[in-house]
Amino acid sequence: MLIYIILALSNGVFIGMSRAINGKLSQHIGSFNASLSNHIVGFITLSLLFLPVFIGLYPTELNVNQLSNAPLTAYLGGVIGALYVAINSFVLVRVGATNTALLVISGQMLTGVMIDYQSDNLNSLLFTFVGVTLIVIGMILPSKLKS
Amino acid sequence: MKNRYLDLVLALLGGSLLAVMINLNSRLAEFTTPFLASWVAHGIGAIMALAIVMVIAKTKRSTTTNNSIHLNHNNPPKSPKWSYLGGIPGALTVVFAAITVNSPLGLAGTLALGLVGQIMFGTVVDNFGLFGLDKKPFSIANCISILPIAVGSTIIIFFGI
Repeated sequence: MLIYIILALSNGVFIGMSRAINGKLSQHIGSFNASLSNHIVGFITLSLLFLPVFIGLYPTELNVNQLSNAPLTAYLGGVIGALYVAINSFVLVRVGATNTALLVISGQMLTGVMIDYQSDNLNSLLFTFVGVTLIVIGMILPSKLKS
Repeated sequence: MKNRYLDLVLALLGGSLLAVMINLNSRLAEFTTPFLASWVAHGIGAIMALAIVMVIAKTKRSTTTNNSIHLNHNNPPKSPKWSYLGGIPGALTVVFAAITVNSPLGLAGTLALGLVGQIMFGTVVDNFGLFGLDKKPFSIANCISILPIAVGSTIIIFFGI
């Protein structure tokens, strides 16, 4: 169990690391170029990880043909990814790593709640409301105290 | 002050995009595996980013003169080689998440711990100015936003959705 906890924590660390490194790169070559670099390097990394599968060393149910069954909208994730990394890099340099993490998490949570509300997937409206309220407080409070 | 709000709105928008992106990528993953879906998404993302970069370059070329080269003095001259490697930890998160989602932690545990990892790492990066970024020493004031956002998100993850 401990190994999974460490892995899940590392996952967050890696998300932050990727964001910080791309932010640094964006200072030199711009946010969209940083996003381009991120996606090319990520694509190569995953290709290398996949290599045993691709050359048939590792037989799995992995079938590229199945992809053609996916609806076209499912492919839009990649398109959004290009914008996502660019925005992250741009904002990180301006507000810092902590604030970027906090705001991106907030936006992710609030949007996730809206998506789940739309599709009637919310477990508890009460807990969701409490959570959303806390997030909004965390976003507003620092600027209120400063001014 | 106006710029502060722009940053805030942009960062929130980033989070919104992330939520939609995860939704779409997991729909793609339903037809294959999380790995292959992420591989495809990275490929499409690269093409999209390249298209944007080319459009921007073209607009710049047609609206600015040769002098524009000298306007870049705000940018530090040379990017360190390691700064091109941000895609590696980014790509690995897909692998990690695929493992932990299918562990006893489940999706909720994966999300919550990932969030903790992100915030902890963010404070370390800021405090020490890692990766050549500006140093922003940790202060108690940071907790004013960290605590409610972390607790609120955790409540939503475990009890709300």
